[in-house]
Amino acid sequence: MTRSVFFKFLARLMMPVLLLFSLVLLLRGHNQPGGGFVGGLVGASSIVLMTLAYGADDVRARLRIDFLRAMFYGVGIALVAGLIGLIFGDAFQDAFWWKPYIQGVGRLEAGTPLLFDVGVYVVVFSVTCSIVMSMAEEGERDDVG
Amino acid sequence: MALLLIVFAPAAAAFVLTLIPRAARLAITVPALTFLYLLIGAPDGMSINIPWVPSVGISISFFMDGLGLLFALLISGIGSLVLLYSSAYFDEPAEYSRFSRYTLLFMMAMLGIVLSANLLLVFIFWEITSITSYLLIGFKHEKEAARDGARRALIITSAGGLAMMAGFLLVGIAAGTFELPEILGSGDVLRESPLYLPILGLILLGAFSKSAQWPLHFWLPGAMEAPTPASTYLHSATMVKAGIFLLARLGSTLNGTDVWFYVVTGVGLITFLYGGVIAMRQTDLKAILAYSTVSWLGVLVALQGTGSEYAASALVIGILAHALYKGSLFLVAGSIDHATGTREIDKLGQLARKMPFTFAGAVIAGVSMAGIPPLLGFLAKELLKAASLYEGMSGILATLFPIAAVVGSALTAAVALRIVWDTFLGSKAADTPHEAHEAPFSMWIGPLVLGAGSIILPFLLAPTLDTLVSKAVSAIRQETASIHLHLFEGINTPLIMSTIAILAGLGIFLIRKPVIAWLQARREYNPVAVYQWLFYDALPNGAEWLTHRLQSGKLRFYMMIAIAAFIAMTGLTIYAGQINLLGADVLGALDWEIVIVCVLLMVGAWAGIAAPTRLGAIVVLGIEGALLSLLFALFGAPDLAFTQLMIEVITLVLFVLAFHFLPDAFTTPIRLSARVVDAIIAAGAGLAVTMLILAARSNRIGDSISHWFVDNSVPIGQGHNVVNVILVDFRGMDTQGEIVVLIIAAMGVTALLRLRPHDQPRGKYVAEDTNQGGGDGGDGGIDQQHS
Repeated sequence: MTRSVFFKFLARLMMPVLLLFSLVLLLRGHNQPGGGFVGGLVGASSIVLMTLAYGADDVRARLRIDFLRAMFYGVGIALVAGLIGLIFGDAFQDAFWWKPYIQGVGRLEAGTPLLFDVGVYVVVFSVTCSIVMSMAEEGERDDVG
Repeated sequence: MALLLIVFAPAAAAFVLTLIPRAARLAITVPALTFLYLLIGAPDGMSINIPWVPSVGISISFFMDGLGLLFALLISGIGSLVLLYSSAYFDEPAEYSRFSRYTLLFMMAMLGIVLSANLLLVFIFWEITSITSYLLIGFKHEKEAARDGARRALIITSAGGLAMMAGFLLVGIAAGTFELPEILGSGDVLRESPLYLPILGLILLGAFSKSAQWPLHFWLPGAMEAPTPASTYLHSATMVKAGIFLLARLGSTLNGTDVWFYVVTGVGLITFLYGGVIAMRQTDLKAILAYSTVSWLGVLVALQGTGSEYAASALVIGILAHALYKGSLFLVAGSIDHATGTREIDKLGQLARKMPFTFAGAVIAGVSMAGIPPLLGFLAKELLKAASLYEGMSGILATLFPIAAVVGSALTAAVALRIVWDTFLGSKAADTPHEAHEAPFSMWIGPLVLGAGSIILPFLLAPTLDTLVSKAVSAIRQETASIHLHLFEGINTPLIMSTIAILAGLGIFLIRKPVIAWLQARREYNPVAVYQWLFYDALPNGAEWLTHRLQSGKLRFYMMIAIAAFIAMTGLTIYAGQINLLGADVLGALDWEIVIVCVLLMVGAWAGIAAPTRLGAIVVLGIEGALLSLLFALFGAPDLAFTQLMIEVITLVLFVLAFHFLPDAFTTPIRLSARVVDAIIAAGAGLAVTMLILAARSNRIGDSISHWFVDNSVPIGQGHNVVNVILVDFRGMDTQGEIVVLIIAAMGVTALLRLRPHDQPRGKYVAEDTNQGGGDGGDGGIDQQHS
């Protein structure tokens, strides 16, 4: 498959933007449209774009993330967020918030629901990347063979 | 407390052994201490009851009566000897440790069966014995015969166990409780219940399968692939007696009817004679023992037909005597196998001088088995004959029972003589793979201890056995009994019958060569062929046929079935429930923007159908998705709209990647009939969804809960985005489950894609896949759809 230089350039341009945007979506999700799920999808779309532009093998070699492993970390993070509630609170996924005021920046809002959302983000991100890249690799192998 | 300890200590020991495998040699202390405690210190009438699932009547409750005590003594006593024996039987320490663990778990399950006071608890332990027995029979799992034997035993006994559970549930319905002490008092309720026959059939099925009654006996000879210590323990002394135990436990509440008498006595006697005859024609020492065990299990079942006091005493002594002599003979067989490398009786002979201690154990056991006085086996046979003459019986079985008792005893005697004579004495010397040598101490002590029991117990009737037998008989018959046994009661009919049996047995033994040859020339009517056909032919072939029918490998077909089922169920529910569809003003809220989007969606749907190329169809679907998210946005759900849009983008990419594998144009036309079916299903799906939405709008049950979420999002969830607060906080558990589902899906996709061999070219792969009609079939299926 020959890939256009312009597309490659565009993908490289878009990747950091999309990744950053996905993090914004994740962090603001509790109060404005967004959240871990859609954030993970937007984040994955940056990798998908790179895969389409450069090919799965190239992207995998540069990223060096084992998505199959990463998605378990995601579930792990979500579980830890729930367990904090179980251990320090009344029940599994009992919410805890920590909202310190930082001079000149604003109020930071952190809590176990956010941590849980981070877990969701990681799972959605790695599941999507894993599926898309497996499919893409399948196609590349046929090109060679 | 003591009861809990007795039952669960072996399991704890097994757990310790997994942590410290080298401690296997200490494992014997657990059953040995249990045995001593039961023998000396156990008080009468222990019981404990801990609620477990009170809503359905399951409790962890144990009690010990005479019957439980008898079996618990056997289980712990023979268990100790078997663990001691296997320390020398296994050459590899790792194997010994593994064997000990399985055996200890089995011991726990077996003690659980005999001491449980709750029927459902009995069932649970019963199934654990099936599983541990499976592990023990398949112990040498690299041998195919061992795996087959293990599977066969598991299928038969656990199928019986399931039947038994159904029977237990019916008992629970009829008696209103699962607690055994209460059920034992409600025999008349059960006998008069309309459920009596189903209860009886199901429970007998469970008991007969476990205790290897004809025609379900064939798993037991197959189980001889187990290491010999396991055969000793499971397949002669304890597990196969679980069925006998069950009949004895529930007998007092179920017996007394004609059905019970004819089925139990009849099946028992057939098994008794069948086992004896088949045992004669075997040449493998363990197979002989297995069939003679089947035979004696038949007696123990037949004895329960009448429910008389004689029969109950005969049962108790019969269980005890058989456990002692048959356990001993199994251990002897294991020692011979260990020492010579063969169990073929034709190759053995004159081992007495080389294995004197083993020989001594074998002789005592053989004499007891043959029913020669004054050993315990003689007493058992005497009581059997006395029970067979019980006057309470009627019909043809009253005549046949005494005859069968004599014939069967003669066969048993002949088999016993053959085992001892042809292996240890005889005229020809052994021709074995290894030179025979005496087994180590821990292997010959077992048979001698058991033999000592066979010799001493008949002379200690008054101080020891009478109490135990009285307690056990009381428990079996649920009537206080005071039994006084005598080894010699003067010249009476049972003694004459016993003498005839022994002499006839000796006669058969003397002419054994032609008899065995004749038997071996006959066909063996073995139900194992039915089993083989059922589980190796009918079941797999039937499953394959059904799978081929249902699993065509075409995604299109699966979707069709799923959607058609959805249409049918929705339609039926709405039709049968006469659900009002037009109760709400659904069209009132329609905006002109929404109408435009909906019209566009419909046009898009049509374009998707009409698209001439695959790429065109994919693009149209993408546009449809975008329109759908626009619709969400118009309804005021930005989160949903955004997520939907992202999903559309990713799906489109996936489509394009998969598209790579497919031919571009829909080259071959689809048959008209297929198109009509598609159209009907598509229209039906649309109709069903429409009806569902109308029905949901028109039939509000209770108030919407969305207000609660909106009201509490900020105060409780501390967030302004209600959707996200629901996802990560209010309904966080759902999300937790969903992300796990996502992972499973991703692993599935990866596995399916990697199934394809890396070096195989694509065309060939597709061709093979289509032929098989299975596999992931992504390509093959969709290609076929258009051909």
